Amino acid sequence: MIILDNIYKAFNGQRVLDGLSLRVNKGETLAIVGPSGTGKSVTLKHMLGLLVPDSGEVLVEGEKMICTTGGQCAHLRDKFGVLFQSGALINWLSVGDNISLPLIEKTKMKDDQIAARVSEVLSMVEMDGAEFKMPAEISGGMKKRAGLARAIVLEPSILLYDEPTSGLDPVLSRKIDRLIKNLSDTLGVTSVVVTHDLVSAFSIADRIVMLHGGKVIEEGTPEEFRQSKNPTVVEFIDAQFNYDK
Amino acid sequence: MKIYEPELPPSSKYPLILLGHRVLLSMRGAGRALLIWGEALLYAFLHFRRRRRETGRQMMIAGVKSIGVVSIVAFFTGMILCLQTGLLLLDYGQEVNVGTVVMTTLCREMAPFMTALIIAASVGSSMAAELGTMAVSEEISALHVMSINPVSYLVTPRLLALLFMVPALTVYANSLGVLGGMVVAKTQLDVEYSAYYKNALSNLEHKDMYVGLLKAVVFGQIITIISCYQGIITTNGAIGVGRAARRSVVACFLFVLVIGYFITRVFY
Repeated sequence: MIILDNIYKAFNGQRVLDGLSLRVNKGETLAIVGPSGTGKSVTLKHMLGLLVPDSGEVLVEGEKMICTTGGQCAHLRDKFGVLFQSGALINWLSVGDNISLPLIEKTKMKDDQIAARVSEVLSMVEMDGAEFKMPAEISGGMKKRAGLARAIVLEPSILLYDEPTSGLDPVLSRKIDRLIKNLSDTLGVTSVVVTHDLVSAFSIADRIVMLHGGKVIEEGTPEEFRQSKNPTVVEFIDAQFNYDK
Repeated sequence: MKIYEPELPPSSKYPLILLGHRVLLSMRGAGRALLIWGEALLYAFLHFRRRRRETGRQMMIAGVKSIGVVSIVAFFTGMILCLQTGLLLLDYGQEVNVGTVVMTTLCREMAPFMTALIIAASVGSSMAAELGTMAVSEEISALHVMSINPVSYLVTPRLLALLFMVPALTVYANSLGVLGGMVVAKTQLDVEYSAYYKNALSNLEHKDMYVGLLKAVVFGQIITIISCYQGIITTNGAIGVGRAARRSVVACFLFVLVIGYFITRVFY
């Protein structure tokens, strides 16, 4: 379970999170939606301890996430697997080496066990046999899937996705959605998906929260979210589904 | 490694306040870079075995791939040095001593200095750009999330590579510079190879060699830390990456010059 309690964050005087409070329940898939610049990715970075709140606190499974120096929150970060917006694959390593990196650094697995685990997670993201491809040789969608394979290789209990479908065509976007849904179902992990793609949010999330002005303005199941009377939410939904409005 | 949040340059209409902010920012940056240096040195001992492969790759990039440009620059520097000083010595009939001048100047100053400038311009700028690109494309954040310390994974191999390769290239530049001088001494000043060689070696002191090597070691560390730090703190996409590369080269040049002077001042 992740709790963000009354988080305030400003960059160079500009407030991005303005008393944000959020709760992610164990095993659920939560989608955080909202227009660009409302603090979705900043919220995600607070969950990971990559940013320190000006005030408020972040609790991960009951423990306070404090990362003033690297070592202090490493055990909490180990619970997370993250798919970054661009995949964030290390450029000079092959896809296989990227995925095996956390295994080499954090476990005492032997080379053959690592190779087996790498091909297992590649198969889960439908990229069988792509171990030796370099990041520069694969498409944006494949980079995201390889990033996802790296995120799940250590079997984390929480998966965070930062704009998993941005920059992808609709067909590939739905493929990524199905992948996220499958992983949530098969691995039983808690998932947080930051997106502004409502089609994606409605298809994969158990619960949706909408951020606006650095705070949560709407929260509910996909159905409740659709029925929202909040004018900002209505405008956001209309902008994606009702082009004539 | 602590994660540093981006800081905007100060904005004020008062020049003195602006200057003060700039000085504070620079001092904070220097302090952070020194912390990263200390951390990288610590990991050089703790994670040496784990970083062997990447260190080897960086040694290849910094050392072997720089040999071509170092060779040309060193050879011609030796030739120029020999020609300029040789022509002056010729007026006094002392051209036979040109070997001493070339060897001493190269060992004490020129070889470490020009090697450092070449490495700063080629390897240092590429380090800043590479790490800067990693920072803006969230690869460094990904390392943090995987609990892999970016200093250990990225800075330590580069630090070790330049620790060995800058002195090695300096010795190489020294030898080629002396060789270039030898060719000019024979063809332009009519000094025999054997006379030049004997003269060059006979007046060389151990101190000249170790001070030159000390400079090379220090310059290697300066280049790595400035370049890696500028890369790690990069924000603002492609513009930020370009800025990081430019800043790293400018800062490396300045520090190599200034620190080089003070090392000379201490030993001579």
